[in-house]
Amino acid sequence: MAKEILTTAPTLTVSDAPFWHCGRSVQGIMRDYLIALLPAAVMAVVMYGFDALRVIALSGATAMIVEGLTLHYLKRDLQLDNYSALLQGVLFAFLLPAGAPWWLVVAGCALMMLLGRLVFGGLGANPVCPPLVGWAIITIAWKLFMDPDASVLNTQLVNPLTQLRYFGVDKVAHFTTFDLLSGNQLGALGASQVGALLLGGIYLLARRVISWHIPVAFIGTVAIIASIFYFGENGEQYASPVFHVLTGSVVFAAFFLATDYSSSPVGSVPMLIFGAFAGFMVMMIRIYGIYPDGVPFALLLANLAVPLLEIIRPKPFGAVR
Amino acid sequence: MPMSTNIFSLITGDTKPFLSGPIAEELHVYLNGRSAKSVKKKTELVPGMLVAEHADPKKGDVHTPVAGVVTDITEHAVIIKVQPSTETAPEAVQPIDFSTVPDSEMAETLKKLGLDLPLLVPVTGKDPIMHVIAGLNPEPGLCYAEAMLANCKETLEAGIAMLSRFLPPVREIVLATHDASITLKGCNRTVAVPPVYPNEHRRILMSYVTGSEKLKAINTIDIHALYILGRVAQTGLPVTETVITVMGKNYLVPIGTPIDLMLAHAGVTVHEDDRVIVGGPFRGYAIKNITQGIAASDTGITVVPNGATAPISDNACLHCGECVRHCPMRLRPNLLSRYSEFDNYAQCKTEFVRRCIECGLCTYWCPARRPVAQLIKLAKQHSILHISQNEPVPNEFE
Repeated sequence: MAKEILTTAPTLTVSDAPFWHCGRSVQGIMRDYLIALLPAAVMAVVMYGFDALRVIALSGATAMIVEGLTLHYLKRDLQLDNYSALLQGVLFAFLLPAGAPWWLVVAGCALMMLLGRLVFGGLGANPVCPPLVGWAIITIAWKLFMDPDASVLNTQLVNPLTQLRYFGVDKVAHFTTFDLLSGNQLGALGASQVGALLLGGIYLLARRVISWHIPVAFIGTVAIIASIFYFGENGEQYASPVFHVLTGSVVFAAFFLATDYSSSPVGSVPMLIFGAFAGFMVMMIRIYGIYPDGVPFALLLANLAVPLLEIIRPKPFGAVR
Repeated sequence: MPMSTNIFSLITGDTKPFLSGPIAEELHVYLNGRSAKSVKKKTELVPGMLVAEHADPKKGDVHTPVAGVVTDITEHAVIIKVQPSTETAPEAVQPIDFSTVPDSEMAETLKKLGLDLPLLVPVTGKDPIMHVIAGLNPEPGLCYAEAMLANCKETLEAGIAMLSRFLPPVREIVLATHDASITLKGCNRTVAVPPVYPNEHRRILMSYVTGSEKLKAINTIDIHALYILGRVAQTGLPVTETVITVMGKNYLVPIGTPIDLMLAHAGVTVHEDDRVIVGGPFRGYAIKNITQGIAASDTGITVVPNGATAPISDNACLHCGECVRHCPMRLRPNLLSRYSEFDNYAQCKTEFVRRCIECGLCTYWCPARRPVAQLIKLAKQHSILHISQNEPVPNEFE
């Protein structure tokens, strides 16, 4: 009895509303992150030579291989084409010294992917930022190899934070702001290219991949706490706020590590508190702690506080309580 | 604050009069739950004659807009071949004089004239304290509201006058639209609402009119339904035409016009695997048969070409927060979609899932291309189903 549908009528796709999509994708976001890291990667090679490129390439490749093998073993879809594993590898590489031996890079990267990301469920599931997990494990296990002062010997660069800690503020007076911005400081191969990272961070903000709350809160709090010491009594013992912001991994973490989606909060007030807490802990570790640069540990602590911070949220529409 | 700042504007500035629809040789009157008991194959029809009745007293019956003869009755539609009346045709349908109909019988009379009363009765169980007329376009892409307010004021005012005949009396009738200077006779005041999607939804309109987000006993009537009511009030004849937006232009078309004919008339080509949607791109529904006839309650036809929009994926949630930033109800669609994905409907209920107005913005903005709104709708269904059966909502993890 039913009327035949004309064979010339097109077959239609049927699905549930909504039918539009903004077009963004995970691959697009990761690509934006990688583009933002490009100036710093180039500067790393300029300052440290091809050692830096070796570390970045090895780390990126290891990250992809470890993720690929693990997902294959777990019989899950490989998602290597969304560049998220590659991004984690490159971010991890930026925290390493340029002279890191190959086994250190491979071990750290594998531990990062396995313990920092895959054990939690992969993309989107990590409660802590994976590069920080990898960094923390190998810094504690192989402290000397992870120390740029010990492992990067073929350079004239000086590490401002270790100089500050062990020799006092007078020894770092010669660092100009331009020095620090242009990467003329010894540190992790990527994290020390501060000016290039700032450019990358501005690119991320302009592309609306990240919002301003975490970087501003993080860098702002580092500057404010540093100012409190610098302008307080005994201020001559402490380095300036500009120095503290432009050394170590502060700028790198502010734009690239703290803003990792899965390990950072979603609401704007929690984001500000998260950034402020991490910034506060950076300064506490630098002044009272034992590490010259406290950024990775500070950020790990802040990541652990995120579920608590997410309780702060506006009430749903029309909610009474 | 949001990652992206695109907002969907609901004003187009289009106030041109409605264009006329195609002249169809064959109408497909869409049954949609009605039963065509009063007509058979080869029954001759005159304009306004009853074609199918709905058993639900709140859903309107459907009538033919043209003279013709029934050529087929399928599971979904009554196919009518358009032809002039012969001498053996039944008598012409007479307009009803509403002054002779008592108020107690008005609802039934209007249902018999083809009006869907669920569009016009209160949301809560209590009597409404006011009527709010939603004078905004419901979705981006639909643009009849401004044209109706500019050109069809008498019709709308006739509809407003009819409201008190079958609805309980209210303290005031408020028009909610983009411009507070627009007035309609019968409306006590006009409230300006930012014309941004999804502000046409009744909960958001209510919050602008009352100044509070709490749910109140307020009846919301969208302007499309009011227009149809007004036409019936003015003519006394059954519903035979409707206004739809196709590709940004408004058409006044007879109901039953096949959608493929309408699209061809509007200059739209539909290719293989495209989506043809009745309604708008956020809340409409996709049809499977392109010859489906236009119904009185249809507001527009949207075509989404194959490949124009990103395919849905099964990625895990990234917790980027785009959906949270764009949710008009201030819910957490990221968590809701994760709970729903793993059948944890009890936690969805704790997260206010029933507050969701199904606007679809969460799915639109999700970079992981998850079916967020669809997962939330599933969770809502489960919540409502279990609440209605007075059972605790199940949780796989307990």
